[in-house]
Amino acid sequence: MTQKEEQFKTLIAENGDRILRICRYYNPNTEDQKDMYQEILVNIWKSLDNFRGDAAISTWIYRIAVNTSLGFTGKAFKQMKLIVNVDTENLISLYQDDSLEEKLIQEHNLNQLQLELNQLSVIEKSMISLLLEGLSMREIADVIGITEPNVKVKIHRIKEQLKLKLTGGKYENY
Amino acid sequence: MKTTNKNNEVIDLETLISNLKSEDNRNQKILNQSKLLMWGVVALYSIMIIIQLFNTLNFLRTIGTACIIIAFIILAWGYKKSSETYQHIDYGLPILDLLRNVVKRFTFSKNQIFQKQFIFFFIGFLLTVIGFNLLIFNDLGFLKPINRIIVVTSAYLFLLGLGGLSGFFIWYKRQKPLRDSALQLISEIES
Repeated sequence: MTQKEEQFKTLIAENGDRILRICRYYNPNTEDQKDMYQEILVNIWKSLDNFRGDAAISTWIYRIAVNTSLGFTGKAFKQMKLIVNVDTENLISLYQDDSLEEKLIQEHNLNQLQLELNQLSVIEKSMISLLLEGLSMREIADVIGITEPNVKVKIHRIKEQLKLKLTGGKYENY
Repeated sequence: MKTTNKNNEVIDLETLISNLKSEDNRNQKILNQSKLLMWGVVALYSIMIIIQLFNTLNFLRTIGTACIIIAFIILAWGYKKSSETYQHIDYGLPILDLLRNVVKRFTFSKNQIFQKQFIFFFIGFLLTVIGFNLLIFNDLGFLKPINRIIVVTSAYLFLLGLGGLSGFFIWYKRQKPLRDSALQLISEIES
């Protein structure tokens, strides 16, 4: 086994779960998840020679996963969906208001959240997927390639937008 | 061989690695064969020049062939440098950097004109024009010298123009959409 092969296997063993989660965010069915998972692995292999350790391994893996997701759907990348469910970790981090936590598990609100998430732009969806992964603002900034304050502003804006839409007229009916 | 690791149940990792290594080896083989072919052609033409020099003592043809050989070497070097720059997309870059690389790759921007490989492409182009003119110069004896140069250069530019036009259409159809998408994403990130 070559050094590259050994390094690759170790990377996948340690980061396979996070790669799988990213694939699940963007693909509703198992076959598409598998295809994207494989494409990410291929891109990790191709990019391995360029990795100089200037970023944390997890950050580097997330970069590859998100960059791959941008190209995965090809021309239809603008229609790329972000898929969440009640089991999605850190889902509550999308909400500014703690009182919504209980409402979250209700199917209607989850469907509404899903709908609103898919109205977001491609980059916003990417940022939300990283937030759901539990990445800090600093780490999200490292993946996207912008400053931490910039990330904070963008995520705050997204959360405000989600809150407005989810607690607007429709929520009052609850 | 499938491992028992849950993640590797998604795909067969061993098969994937084997395929990736095969592809790496295949790409390296193609690269080596291209280099061998290039230097083989250069060696062949160099021998032809020497034979021509001793047999025909046709100075113009000899210099013309030499110009084309040098142009070939320069263009091959320039193409190799371009391939090295743009062949591998580094997916490990921050998203913004990767998108900027995509734009740079698919845009003939002002900056690219001053990149070394494009200056060498220009020198290569000039040498091929000079080379073809010298090669065919005596064959067009029925024309005035200045007209011979005009005819050969025009014909060469016409063929080059056709190639450039088809290159433009390919860029417009395949690469411009990618560049435009990248520009849009960059604008979103930077807003």
